[in-house]
Amino acid sequence: MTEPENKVKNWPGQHVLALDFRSLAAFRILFGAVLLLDCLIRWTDATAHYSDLGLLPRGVLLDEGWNPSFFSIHMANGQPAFIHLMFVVQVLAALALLSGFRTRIATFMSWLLLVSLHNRNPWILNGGDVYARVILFWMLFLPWGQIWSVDARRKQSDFRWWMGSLSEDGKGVRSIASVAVLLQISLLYWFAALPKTHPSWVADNSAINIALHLDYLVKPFGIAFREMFTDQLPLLTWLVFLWEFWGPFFLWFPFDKGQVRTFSLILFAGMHIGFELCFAIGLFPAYCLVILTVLLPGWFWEKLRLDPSYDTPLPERSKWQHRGAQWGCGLLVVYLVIWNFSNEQFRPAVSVPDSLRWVAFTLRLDQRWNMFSPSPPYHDGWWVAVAHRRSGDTLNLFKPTEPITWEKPDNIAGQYLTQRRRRWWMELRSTNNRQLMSSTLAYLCYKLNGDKRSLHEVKEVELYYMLELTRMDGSEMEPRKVEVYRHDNFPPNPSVPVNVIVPEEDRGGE
Amino acid sequence: MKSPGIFSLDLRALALFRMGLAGVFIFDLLLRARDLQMFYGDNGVLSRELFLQQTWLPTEYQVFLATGSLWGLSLFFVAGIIGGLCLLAGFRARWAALFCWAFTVSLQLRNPVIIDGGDELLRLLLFWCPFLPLSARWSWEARENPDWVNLPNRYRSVATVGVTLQYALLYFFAGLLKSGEEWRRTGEALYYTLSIDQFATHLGKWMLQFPDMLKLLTPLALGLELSLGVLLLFPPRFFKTRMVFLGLALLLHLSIALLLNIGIFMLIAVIGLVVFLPPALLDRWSPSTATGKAEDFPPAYRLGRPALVFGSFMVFYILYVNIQSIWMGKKLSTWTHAVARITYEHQHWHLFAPGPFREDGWFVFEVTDQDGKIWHSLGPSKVGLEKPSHVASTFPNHRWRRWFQNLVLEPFEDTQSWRNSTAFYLAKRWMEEHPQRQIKKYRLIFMEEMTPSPGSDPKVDLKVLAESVEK
Repeated sequence: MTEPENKVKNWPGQHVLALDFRSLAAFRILFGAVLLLDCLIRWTDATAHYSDLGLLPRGVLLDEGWNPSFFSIHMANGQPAFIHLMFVVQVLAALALLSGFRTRIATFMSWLLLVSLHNRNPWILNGGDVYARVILFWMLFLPWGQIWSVDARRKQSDFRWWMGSLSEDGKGVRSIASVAVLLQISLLYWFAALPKTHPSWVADNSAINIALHLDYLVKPFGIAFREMFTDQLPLLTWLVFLWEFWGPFFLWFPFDKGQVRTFSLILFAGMHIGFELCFAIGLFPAYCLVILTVLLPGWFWEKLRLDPSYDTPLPERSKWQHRGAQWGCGLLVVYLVIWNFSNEQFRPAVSVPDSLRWVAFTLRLDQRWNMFSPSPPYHDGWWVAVAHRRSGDTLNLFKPTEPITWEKPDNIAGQYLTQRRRRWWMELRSTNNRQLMSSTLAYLCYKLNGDKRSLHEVKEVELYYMLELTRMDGSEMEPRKVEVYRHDNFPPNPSVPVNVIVPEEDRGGE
Repeated sequence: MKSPGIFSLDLRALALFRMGLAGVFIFDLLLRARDLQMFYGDNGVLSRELFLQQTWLPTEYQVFLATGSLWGLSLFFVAGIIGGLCLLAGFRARWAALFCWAFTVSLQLRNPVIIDGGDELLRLLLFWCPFLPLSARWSWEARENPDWVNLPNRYRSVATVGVTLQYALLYFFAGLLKSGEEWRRTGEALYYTLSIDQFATHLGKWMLQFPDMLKLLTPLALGLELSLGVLLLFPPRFFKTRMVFLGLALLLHLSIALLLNIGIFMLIAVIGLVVFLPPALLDRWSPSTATGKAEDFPPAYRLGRPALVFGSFMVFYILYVNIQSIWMGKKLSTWTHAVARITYEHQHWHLFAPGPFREDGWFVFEVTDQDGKIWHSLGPSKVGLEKPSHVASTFPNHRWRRWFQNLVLEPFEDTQSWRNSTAFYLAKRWMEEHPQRQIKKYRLIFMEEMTPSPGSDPKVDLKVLAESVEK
C-alpha cells in the first residue's frame, strides 16, 4: 500500500483525525449488539409497525410521510410474513456485524436494511435512529472489521482501497471518513445546543425540570430525581447546555495523547446515562453511548494493554482510486455541514439548494438535532379511545376488558408496549394528521378480535387527548379533555384482499 | 451414429441461447426504460398508491415497490442490465440466470397490464435457465475451465425436457385454443385479425384487399401452429425434422411480424429457437471438440435430486396447466394457482383465440387550453378525432398500445381509476410540452369502431374514457 507523503509527521495530535483499529473494532461489536437489540425489540411489534395490517399500511405511508427520494425494500410486500422474513435477514446481518464475519457485506446489508426499515415507518423514529443510520453510513468507508473479528481470524482484511491510509502510528486509519465521524458526532452536540434558545435553557434554566414533568416520557427514577434534587436542577440544566456546546471542542484537542478526549468522552457518557435513567426514550442513549467508543484514542487502549496487531494484508490501490474516494467523502462532509446550517431555525445564509436535497433523502443523511429545543414541551397528556359498537355498548379501545376511565394513569410512559409505539402516539398528536388517526383506529378495532371482520362490529370511534399543561415553574394544571378525532360510519373502506394473481389481460393480443 | 433424442440439446446451441436471451433481456430493458416513469413510477399511470389500492394485483415479487422515483428505478434498471451482461458473458451464469428470471418476474408484476405473449415467453424460458449448462461453451466460465472443451456436446436433463416441451406447448396450444368458428369453419379469422387497426401493419392492411386469399390462409396458419407443436416432438429423421421445424417456425414468426405490430414477440420467439439448432448443423461452423463422456460434467451441471424432483414437477405442471386451459380458459384451479404464485410458470396461449376480438378503435387525448383552442394528441403523436391513416403507429410503442387497449377491454376491477390516472398523466405531459399554455379541461377519448363482418361498413362511436374535473 502506498503511503501519501507525510506532511504532519511531528504534529502532536495525530490521534485527533485518525480512528484507532481497537476503537473501531470495539465500536463494531457494541454497535452490532445495540443494532441487534434494536431489531429484536422492533420485531416484537413488526405487524403493527411495518405491515399492511398495522398502523401504517403502505398506501397511507405513500400519502403521509414518504419523500419521493426514499427507497424501502420493506415496501415490496405488505404481508406480516414478509416483514418477519426481512427481520430474519436483518438480525443475521447484525450478528455478522457483531462477530465481524464478512464485515463489508454485513455493513452494507445492515445499512441498507436499517434505512429501508426507517423509511417504511418514519413516524416511530427518534434522534437515536437518525444518529445510528448516519454513523453506520460512514462505517461503509471505515475498516471496523480489521481486528477482533472472524474476518481477522480468516486472514481477510477489512481494509479496502476506498478507506484512506494508515495513521502515522500504523495502529489506525486516517481518512476523510474518520474525520467525518468525529465531525458528525460533534455536529450532533453542537446542533443540539444551538437551537436551545428558549428562556428555559438560557435564562431561568428550568428546562430539565419541565422535561422531568413530561409524564409520557419520564421514568419513575426521573420523578424521584426531580423531587429529591429540585434545587440543583437549574445548575444541571446550565451544565448540560454548556457541555453540549463546548464538550465537542475537547474532542478535537490536539496537544496531548488523547487524555483530554478520553475524559470528555466519559463526561458525555455520564450525560447519556443520566438521560437513560430519567427518560423512557428507547435506545437513544444506548446508541449515543456506543457511538462514543469509536472516538477512544490509542492512549486509552495502551493503558488497558490491548494490542492492535493484525496480520492481514493491506490492499493495493492506485493514487487515483485513493483520491477519488477521498474527494467523494469530502464533498459529502461539506454537504452535511451545510445541511445542518440550513435547518430552518437558523434562517441561514448558506443552505443546501433544492436541487441537491435528494442526496440526503436518498442516503438518509438528512438530520435535525432538535431535542427539547427551543424548549421542552409545556404540555403532555394521555390518550383515551372510545368505540361505539353496533350492539349499542361502548368500549375502551386501548384496554377492551376495562371500563372507560378519564383518570390519569399511574405511569403513562410505562403503559405503552414499546417506546416506538409511544413515539407513534406522540407523532399523532403533533402532526394532527387525520389519515394517520383513521388508520390507527382501524388497527385498534382490527386488534379487538384479531380479525378484519371486527371492523364491522364498531360503528363509531372517538379519540380524546387528555391535555395537561405545565406552568413555567414546573407545576401542572388540571387536565383538559380534547376531542381529537371522531369517525362516524366506521370503518373507512374495509378492503378485503381478493385472491387473484395476474389479471386476465390477454384478450387475444399476441 | 446413434440418432440423438428429441429432448437432447447441444451445448453450443445452449450457449447461443444464453447470449440470445441475455441480449433480448437487455434490449427489452432498454425499450422499457423509455417509459420508466410512466409505467413504473409514482408520477406515472400506475403509481404505487394506485397499485396498492388495487387489491387484486399480485403481491409477490414486488421489489419494484421499493421506490417510485426516477433515480431509484434507474438504479434498478442498471442493476438489471448488469445482471443481463453477466449472463451474456457467461460470468457466474447460473446466478445471473436466476437473477434475470427474478428481475423479469418482478418487473412484469409491477405493471402486469403491459405485458404480452412475448414477455410471458421470455419469463418462461428464463425460468429453465438456472438449470441448464448455459456457460459450458463460449463463455467466461468456459475460459476459466479449459478442460470443459472435452465435454460432450449432447446434453439432456429435466431442464432440456422443460424447454423443448415449452416450445411445443406454445405452438400446439396456440393452435388448439383457436376454437372459434372464424378459425375452424368460416375462415374469416385472418380477416378479423388484420382488421384490428391497432395491430395491423401497412402490409397487413393491404392484404385485406384479398379476402379469398385470407380465407385460404386461415386454415393454413392454424395447421402450421398445430404441426409445429407436433414436429418438435417427432423423433424419426431427427436432423431433417428439426430443420423443417426451424424453417416453418421462422416462416410463421416472420409473417406474423410483417402483418402485425406486436412488439418484440417475434424477436424473443425466434431467438429462443436457436436452442434447437441440431448438432450436425453446428458441427459445420464449430467442429466438435468433445472427447469426454457425460459423467465428466462439472458437479454444477449434474442436477441434484431436489432439482430433479422440482424440475420434473414443473414439467408436469406446464403440461397440466396447458391442458387445463382448454376448459378453464385463463382461470387456474387452487393448486395450480398456488404454484403459479411462486414460479409464475402458468400459461395460456390465447393468441387471437378463441377468435380475434372485434373491439377496435383509436385513442385521442383532447386538451382545451385557456384560449379555448382544442388540441388533439396521444403521447407524442398528433392525431385528430377523425381516423388516423395508420392507427397502429399512433402508439409510441407496443407497451403503450397494450396499456390503452386494456383501458377499454375492461379486464379488471376499477378500470375507471386507471383511466383517470392515464388522462392525468397525459395532461402532465402535455403541460411539459406546452409550457406557455394552461389546460382548461381535458378528455381522454376512445373512438370505438367495431370490426364489421366482411363487406359491411364500420360505425364509429365516441366514448369519453376520462375527463378533467370541472372547477
